[in-house]
Amino acid sequence: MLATLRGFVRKELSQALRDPRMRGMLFVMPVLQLLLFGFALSSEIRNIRLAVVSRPDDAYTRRLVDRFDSSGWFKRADPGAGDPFDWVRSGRAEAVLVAPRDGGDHDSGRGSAVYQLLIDATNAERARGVEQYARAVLAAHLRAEGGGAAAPPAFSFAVRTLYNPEEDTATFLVPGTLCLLLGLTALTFTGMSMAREREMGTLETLLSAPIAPVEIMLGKTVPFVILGMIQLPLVLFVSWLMGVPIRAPLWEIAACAFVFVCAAVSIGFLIASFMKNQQQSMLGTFLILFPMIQLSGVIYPVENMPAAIRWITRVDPMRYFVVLVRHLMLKGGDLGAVLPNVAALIVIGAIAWFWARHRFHQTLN
Amino acid sequence: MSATFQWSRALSIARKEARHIRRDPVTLAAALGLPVLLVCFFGFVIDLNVREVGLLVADGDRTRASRELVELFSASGYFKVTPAASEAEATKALGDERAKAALIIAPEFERNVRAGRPASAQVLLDGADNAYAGTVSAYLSGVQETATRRLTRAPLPKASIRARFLFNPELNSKWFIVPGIFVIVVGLIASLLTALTVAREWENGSMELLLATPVSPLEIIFGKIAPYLVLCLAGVALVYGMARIVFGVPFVGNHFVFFLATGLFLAATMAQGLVISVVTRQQQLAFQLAMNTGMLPIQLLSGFIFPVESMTLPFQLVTGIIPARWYMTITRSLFLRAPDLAMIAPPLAALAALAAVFVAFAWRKFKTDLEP
Repeated sequence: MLATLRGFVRKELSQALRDPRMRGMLFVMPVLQLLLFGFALSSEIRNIRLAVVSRPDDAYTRRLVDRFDSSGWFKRADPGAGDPFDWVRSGRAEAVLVAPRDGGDHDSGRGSAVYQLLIDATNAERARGVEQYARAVLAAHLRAEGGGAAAPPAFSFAVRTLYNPEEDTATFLVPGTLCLLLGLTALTFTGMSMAREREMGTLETLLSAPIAPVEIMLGKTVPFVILGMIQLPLVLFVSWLMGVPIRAPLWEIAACAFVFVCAAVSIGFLIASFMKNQQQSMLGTFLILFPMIQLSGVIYPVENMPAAIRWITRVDPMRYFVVLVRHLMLKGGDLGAVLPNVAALIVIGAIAWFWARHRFHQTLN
Repeated sequence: MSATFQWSRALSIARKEARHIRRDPVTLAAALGLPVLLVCFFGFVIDLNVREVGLLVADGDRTRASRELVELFSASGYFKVTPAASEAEATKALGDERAKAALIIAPEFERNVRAGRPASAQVLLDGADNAYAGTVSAYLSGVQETATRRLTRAPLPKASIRARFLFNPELNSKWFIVPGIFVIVVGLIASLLTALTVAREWENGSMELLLATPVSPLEIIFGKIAPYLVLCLAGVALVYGMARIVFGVPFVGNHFVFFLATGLFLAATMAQGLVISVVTRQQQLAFQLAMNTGMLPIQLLSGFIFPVESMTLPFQLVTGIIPARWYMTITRSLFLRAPDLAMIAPPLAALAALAAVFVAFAWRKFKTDLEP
């Protein structure tokens, strides 16, 4: 049995690794994407194009606008003449600050000056951020106006982001994308390899050879687990280079990744067992992979999803793995938090494996 | 092989391909059914409006002021408050994945508030979950303002901001998600479809046969892309109808510009798929390459959730080679506000340029294959 398995592993690995394009996909693409996402993406909002409508003699507003300019979040837009609403509609400005009609000097002296801020809410999330930043700029302005920057606000929240106090974007995003990358390879490679054998008729040859079905199954899955596990040290190393902390012992990360990759490979094999040819197999893989990524909690928080969907996310192995990797890399390996997620991965993987085995035996009869 | 482009030859290839599609239920379902299905599902699933977020509260003060502050959180509708015994317990819950946010109120809270001294309450966020921490902190500034007004006797600020959200006054996240997820789903499916069908022709040798005929590579490219483009346009029309009817997303832009942009976007993504198939010439490789280069970049770098404008300039330039990034800005603005043509022209031009570059690249790859 071991000899057969070794043969399978050697064949699949050399097939995957001898093609330079395949090597690129396995080793260069994940590194490139990790670097790109870690450095490019940011939850901070920048380059907000702000236009201002105010009286030319309004010194109070001018000081406020200076503060907007120096905040680093806003960039001045000069949309020319016309209606502020129209500037936003046409896309010439993203936000417009409209000073009170009588000027900030006059109104703030009398009591309160109400500034109107028109925000392009085509991107609702960004719009919320724009409002938040504008309020922060105004608060700083008010403090400076009212007796120097030293006077603190009457009430404030002291927000502490645990495990990532500097709010470093790479630390935020790399653990999650790392999970997506590992899952992507494990799933696409297994499903396609099996479908290809089937389409080319070589599966028939394998089945008629004196090998036990379980050996074939292992032979078509173990190599891909190995491929996935080869990727792991590489992506971990790149994350470390990017300054993302790795607080849990490496063996613990490797063990969790192993369980996840096994589960993902089993799912890939299960999908392939439903498909007749490569085209179907690809569509099937896409149909499973896309929701898996969407529901994993990397791009949007799972907590916000409707209750019924939150229930569906429980069968998404990626969701557990994302929690695990974030926990292991940023918080350290607390077994009480790790074990339930690992158990869930084992259950999902086992169900996929036995289901796939059942289907595989059926094709034999 | 003739160097000139003849419509009759290109069209007969297109006709053959169209017949092929008509007989293939899988392709038809993938191009027409899949986008509607996925956009509908995720339109319902993805909700960026925070509501009922679990918040652990360790109230060390237990006074009227502190209770009022906690009340503000639970009454906002965004948070679901659960009491915690102490700060240490709350911190531990965050470490054990039992909670994602905590509010800690120090014992001196009310006394500080009453005395007019600056008072503050601590909020702990789980920094391991970026998506979550971002959404929660965005809500805090609103709560802070109300709390200042309600708790302290601080004089009214001399200036205030009244925000008006144009084009989506209620910040309905469906209006933002549906046009976005639509771009992603259509983009992925269009590039996959072309990559796979053409790779299959290479794999089973029928592309070699085609190249042996007097048909020129450009005619083949046109003949292969055009039918899928029409098919995917039909898919887009279905999704458009659904966005309007099921999700109630308004469309205030120009339909002709939308049609033009969609055509250019589909041409660019399909040409991208074609490049993948010409480079790989094998279905398995083509699929893996399409998934590895497409799946994550199109979701993370297209501006769907993470705005391109917030990236630094070099990375903004990198996102330029992703057709979805340009189409995303066009669709979002066409759906919700009616932008000037001058503002839409650069992304349209970028899409056209990308389509041309990808086609040229595929064409050259075809040609080198023909020359011995």
